[in-house]
Amino acid sequence: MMQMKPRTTAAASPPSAVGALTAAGVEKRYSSARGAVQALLETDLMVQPGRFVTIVGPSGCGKSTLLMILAGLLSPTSGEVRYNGVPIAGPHEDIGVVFQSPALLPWLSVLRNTMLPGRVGRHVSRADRRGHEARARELLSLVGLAGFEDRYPSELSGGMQQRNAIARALLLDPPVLLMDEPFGALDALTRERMNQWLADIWQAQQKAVALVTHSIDEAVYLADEIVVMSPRPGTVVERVQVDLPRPRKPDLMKTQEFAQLSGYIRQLLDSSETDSGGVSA
Amino acid sequence: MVSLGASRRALIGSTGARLHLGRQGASALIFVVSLALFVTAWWAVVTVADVKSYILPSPGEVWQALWPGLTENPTSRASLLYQFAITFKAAMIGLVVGAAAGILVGMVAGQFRWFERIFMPYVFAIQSTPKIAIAPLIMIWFGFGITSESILAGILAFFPLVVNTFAGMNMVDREQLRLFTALRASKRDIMVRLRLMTALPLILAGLEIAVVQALLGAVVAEFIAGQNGIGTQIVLFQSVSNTAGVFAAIIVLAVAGIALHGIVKFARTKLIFWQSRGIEA
Repeated sequence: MMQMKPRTTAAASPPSAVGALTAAGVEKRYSSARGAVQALLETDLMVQPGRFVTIVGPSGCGKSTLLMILAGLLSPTSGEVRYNGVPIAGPHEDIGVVFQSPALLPWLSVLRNTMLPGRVGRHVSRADRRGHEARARELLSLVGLAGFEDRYPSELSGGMQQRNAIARALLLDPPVLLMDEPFGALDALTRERMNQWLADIWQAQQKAVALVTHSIDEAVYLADEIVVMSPRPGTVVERVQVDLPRPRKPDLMKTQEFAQLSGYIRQLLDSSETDSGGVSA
Repeated sequence: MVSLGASRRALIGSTGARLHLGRQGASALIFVVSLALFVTAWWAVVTVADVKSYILPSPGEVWQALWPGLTENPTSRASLLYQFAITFKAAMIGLVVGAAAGILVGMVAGQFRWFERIFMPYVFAIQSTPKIAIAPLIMIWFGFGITSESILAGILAFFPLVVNTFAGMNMVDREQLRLFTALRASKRDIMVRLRLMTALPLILAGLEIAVVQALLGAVVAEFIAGQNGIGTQIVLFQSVSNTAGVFAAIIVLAVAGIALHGIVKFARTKLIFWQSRGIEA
């Protein structure tokens, strides 16, 4: 089979720290009763404004750990995370996070859930809060939940719940958006639709996005850059630049270029798996 | 007879039931029939075996003790309602104070590890002790009367709420907690908007138990050292072998207990709407 090797960069992208979220030499070890577990080996990562980075790797490779470190929700054992060139030690107001589960509050309506970041954020002033309802309504129609504002999460399907969670993450218009397998729990068809929808939204918002996934197709379809990770202890095997044209439409997945890229990513994942002794998840 | 109110309910039940006998209608009908059978069997045993009325009065004798007790001028000491009001007042004072204290302690223990480590072992130890056994101590410390009654009622109401509030606060969803951390929510917001709301169903379940426990505490306190109240009446009736009177007082207590429990349960289903909403939708 013919293998085209796409452009790759071994080191981090040229350093333009403005608005960028970077991880430098980030490592994570967990100490448990049975000894230390190395979850993440020295890893570098950069998410720049207007760039969509997907992080792909086998289960348990520490890709979610990396994302949580970027979000300031886990502290690295060594290394540091910088935003705008400044080291950050905890959650940052400019960083929105979407988790694997929608994490909606069942006692709040869809609208109230969307407005939550404006209700609990310490950094939000009273004057800001007034604009939030209008903004939340706007976002809900953007994510296709217009008319569901007064419903409750239990009345929504899984895909709708996750869209509500994304609308919530966008409320305060964070320049950086981190997503941890947001569609992992959805069925294949819904997932494809969500990817299309996310590609469209991103096209409109142009944020710095990092999305963790274990789906190769998802990783290729959404990305400007794919970060491929090795099995535990995870580290970056390769960064693959994706030059596929935008805006992307589902037909893209049938093209030769798309197939070649996915094939290449698959090969990278397979070989890194064998290198490390073929530990399967 | 006893079934005066009951037979009217059966009538409504049977006309309403002709078209469609709902689940509720069916169980109400079964209840009425079984109650009628029970009273008949009771009456039959007493009559056939010629049981002495101070051992087991007939249903008719109980009714003759109950009806005047209910219809008596409620300001008279001979009125069962007058006596019950005294017990009820002590129970409610105890319930309100004990439950509020229980929720507060449960909240603090759920939020602060050091507080949990210091106090919760005692709570769990005392929770497994038959607390009613401390009633005589309360009398020694606080004397006779409504103070002691309320304190005992309060102690009995306190524990189900501490334990349930504490357990509920810890039931918090990990991802929701992460979300609040990512949103940089204050400790207070995490405690009230997340943990307390998560605990609400269990708190109300605790209240269902506490309301009956408070009534029990007040009655037992009256057994030991009451001057007034339905517990005192029971002891008084017993001392003069007025077994029918004892039964009448117990019926008043039973109806009150069922009603209070029902009110709290109703409030729970109304307040915790999100746990059943999914089923309707």
